[in-house]
Amino acid sequence: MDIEFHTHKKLGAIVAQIEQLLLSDFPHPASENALKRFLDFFRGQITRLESASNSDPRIVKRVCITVNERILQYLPVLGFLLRSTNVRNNFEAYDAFVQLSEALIGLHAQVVLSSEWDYSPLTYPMNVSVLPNFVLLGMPASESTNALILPLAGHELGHSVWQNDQVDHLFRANIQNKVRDYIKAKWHDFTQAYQEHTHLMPTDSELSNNLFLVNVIAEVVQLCLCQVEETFCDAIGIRLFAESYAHAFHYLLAPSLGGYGSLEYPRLPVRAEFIALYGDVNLLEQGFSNYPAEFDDQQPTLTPRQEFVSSAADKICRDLAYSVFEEAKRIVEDKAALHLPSDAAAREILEMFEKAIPARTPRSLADIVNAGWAYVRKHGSTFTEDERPLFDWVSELILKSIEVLEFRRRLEDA
Amino acid sequence: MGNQGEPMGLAIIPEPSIDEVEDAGEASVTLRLGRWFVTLRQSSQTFFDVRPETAELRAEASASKKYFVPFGREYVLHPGRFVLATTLEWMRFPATLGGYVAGKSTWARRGLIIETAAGIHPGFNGCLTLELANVGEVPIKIRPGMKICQIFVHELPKGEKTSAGSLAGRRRPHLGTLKSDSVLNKLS
Repeated sequence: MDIEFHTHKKLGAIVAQIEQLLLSDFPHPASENALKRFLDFFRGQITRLESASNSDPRIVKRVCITVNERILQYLPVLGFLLRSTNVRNNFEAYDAFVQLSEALIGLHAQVVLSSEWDYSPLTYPMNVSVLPNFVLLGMPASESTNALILPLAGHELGHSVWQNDQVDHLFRANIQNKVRDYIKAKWHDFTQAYQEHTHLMPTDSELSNNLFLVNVIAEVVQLCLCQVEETFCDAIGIRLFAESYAHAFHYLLAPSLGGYGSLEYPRLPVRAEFIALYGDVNLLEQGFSNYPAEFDDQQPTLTPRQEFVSSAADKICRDLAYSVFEEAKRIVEDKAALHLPSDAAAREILEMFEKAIPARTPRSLADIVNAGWAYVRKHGSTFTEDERPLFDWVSELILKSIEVLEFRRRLEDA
Repeated sequence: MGNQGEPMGLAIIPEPSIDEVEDAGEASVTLRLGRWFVTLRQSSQTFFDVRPETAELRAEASASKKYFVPFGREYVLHPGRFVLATTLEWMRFPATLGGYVAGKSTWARRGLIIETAAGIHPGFNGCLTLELANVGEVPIKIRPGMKICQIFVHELPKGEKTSAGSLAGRRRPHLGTLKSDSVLNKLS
């Protein structure tokens, strides 16, 4: 059978799968809306394939490749949407994240709260072109009942803010200049890494006009932008949630996930260092005498070229980290001031948790989770887990408090 | 009511409107329906046995199915059906207070039974699990946040001991586990 016939079959299969998924019980409409967008997209691909059917075989082949790519790219997202129906998810937190998303991104934001079978919640691909206004918040499936790690969703929100506010535009020109300066300053390293290009000179003219150098600069700029975006997302997380982001980050990722980290992220100890330096959280008071030292990931073995590009990106990202954190602070304070944490509010909630009752008048999600972590720190070592695990009990209090937050908001908004 | 989190008081969160309680002139406090529901899986649970030692009791997860219904949506309880729900309110009873939960007459007259294990012991904390059954002949739509039941509170002046039990400290309905009954065991 020919490839076009098989592609028709594959498109029919994925459309049938989406139609089946749409029969699920979705607790919130955003997942259903997302599935309908995918359904429209793949039905559109069927129409496209049909209209290309009598075209040049190369065009048909290109369409078939695109269909394969899209199925490969979107199938995990369909699974993510299906898992948003899982009753292990912290559904009570949904409204709080909707409020946060609407404040940061706008009223058009559609939030999907789900779980992932990939462990790291920090690597979810956000660039789903079919879902431009969607905020996909996913916790590792094994941790989906653990309310203490909810602040990590702040990182995911950061990706949406990055796209929505086009934050890359703020940093791109600066990064490009820094890359050029780096190459000039490290010209010896450059010639070691690119030995067949030793005839080049690091002049402004060559850096602007030599095709090879222009490509190297573009490669480093792109890697820098990835690292700066991830740094920005950590900054959004720590600004929105303060110490509970640091605790959740530590809980999930320390000392490392083993293996090698992606070059598109600053190394784990470096991310922790940025959080400690620029996050405005007294981590010593939170029990961390040296927060970055809690993390330890391995550096992959790189080719000389990769080493040069990676070192450049690391250096430039480090140079920009402070201003990236300040930009995140400005955005969060400007758009989501009502949601920001307060030490006094968290202390008040902690007192209620210690009396085995949820927050009576919570003001923000961050205050609630900060109180939860404060409870764990204060009582974790003496908590008797015979009847129930500590995190289970704290999550219960946190989630009920978040429900109270929603209840009160709805009454006030009505 | 001690909603400030006073250790000796009764805490109800979210707190009911004190004005509404006083204006109603009733001897009870009205509570609202929560958002979690649990039904029993009839296809995989052949029977419950009152003797836990011999019971084919399955883990709660496999014997029941949970549903979350957001505010603004409804759950339709058909005639003859049974579902566990909770109060929206989380309560904590001090050692000096006990109580009873009862239905609302308006719903009872339409066939909705709220609760059959009505006692609330001193020291209880958590959301009350409600045993909802439609014994009427018409399906009933129930909505999270609706007024669903009422509690009557009584004082135990010398109350010192508490009995929170394994059903306490939960925000979702919970089947619980059967306790061993030594007398029943000897009779069997």
